[in-house]
Amino acid sequence: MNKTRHIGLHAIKVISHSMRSGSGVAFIFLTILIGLSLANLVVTPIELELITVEELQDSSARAIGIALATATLRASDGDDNQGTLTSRMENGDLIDLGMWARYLVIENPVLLSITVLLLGVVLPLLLPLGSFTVISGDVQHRTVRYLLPRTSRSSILIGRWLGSMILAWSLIIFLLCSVVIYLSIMIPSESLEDLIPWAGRCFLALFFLTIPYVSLGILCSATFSVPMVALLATVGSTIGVPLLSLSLQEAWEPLGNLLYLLPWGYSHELLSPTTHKVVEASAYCLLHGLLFLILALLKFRRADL
Amino acid sequence: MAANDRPGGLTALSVLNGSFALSVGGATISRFLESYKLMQVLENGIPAGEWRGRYYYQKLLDEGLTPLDLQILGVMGLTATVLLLVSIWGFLKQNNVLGRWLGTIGGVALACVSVCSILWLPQSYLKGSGISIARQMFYPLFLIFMLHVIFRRDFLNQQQDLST
Repeated sequence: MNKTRHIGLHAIKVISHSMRSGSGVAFIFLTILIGLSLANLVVTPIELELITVEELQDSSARAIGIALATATLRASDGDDNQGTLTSRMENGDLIDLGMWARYLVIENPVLLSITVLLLGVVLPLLLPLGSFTVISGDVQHRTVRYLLPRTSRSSILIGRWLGSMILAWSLIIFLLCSVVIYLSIMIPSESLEDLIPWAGRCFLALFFLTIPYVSLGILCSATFSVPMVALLATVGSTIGVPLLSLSLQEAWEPLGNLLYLLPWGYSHELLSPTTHKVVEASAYCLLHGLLFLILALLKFRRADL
Repeated sequence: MAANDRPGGLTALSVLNGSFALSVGGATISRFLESYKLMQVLENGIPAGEWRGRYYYQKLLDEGLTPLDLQILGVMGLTATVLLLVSIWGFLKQNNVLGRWLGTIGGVALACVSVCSILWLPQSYLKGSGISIARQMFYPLFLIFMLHVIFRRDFLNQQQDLST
């Protein structure tokens, strides 16, 4: 049997096994529940007529503009030529950010944009739930030994990585479809013709965002033989990296670049109006994913199983 | 069958069933209390002076809701609670009737409680939008999908093991 077929088989098996395992059920349930709760958080004020869509567009444009400014301008704080906020305003960067916020909330369906922005923050914390047992579960129970005479270690790892990815992407598609169908029925201002292309664009952003975080989960799963330790390591590093970089940056500016150990520093650019920035951010996501996958492969190949 | 032979997903589903049964059970108790209170309001009118429930009961009366409607909701909630709680035992034992079928009926009852609450209770009382109801409807659908697609064979195999 060729290697591609082996990888496909491992991917299918890991999907069916994930749905039967406790962690898989928890992952599916929590992802959908939290995703719908985030959408609910955004839609409720409109449905209860506490605020109109136009008012939400105004206030969220401002809030998203500030968030984007904080995320983007801090990225090049170290650059002397563009160090101050004033100089950045003179360079026209803030106008770009204003355009970016406008693009997200005025030119495209605002409710879907805000939901996806919130998902972009929450998904990295949920994705490890779907991948932490992928390798470590079998290693802990020594059942992986029964597979090794029939297949290679790299096929197992790549197949399981692919299976975890497909499961995560399926959940994201399900979530986006539910939100789009709901919005198109209940909110008259959000038409299906606007929602579908934007949902496709949002899916692409989340598609690329998923790759590094699932790969990180697989790396931790291949590194630690106890699944709970793998989960703790994945979630810990996902939360720890931004916290650590922001606090260390206060002490010494270059340490702020630790943020780029994970996609936190550039993931917001996946929804940028500029195509080359989106392509760049997607390429970084792929590279991050590839790096974690190669490290996981190296670790798994040498592991004493 | 030993506990280790049971898929972890069934154990997780039984935990979820337990938490949903508790939340529906809580809502059921409040439905019965509300129906009793509504009966009092219908007999004696809304009490004068400061009363926390004034707005809520006025809203119920405006919507044309009767104590019987609330009692029906309560009975449905009670049925869902009991079925979900009993099906936990069925999940853990992988019993086809107690687990798969009682769980399915429990899921349907849970969905019916959500649908009837949307139809009968005042919109302001639901404290949220339709998407929160979609969220409530997710668990019953998820439960039925898991029982009839993912774990179907586990229940049937266990039934065969017991009969041989």
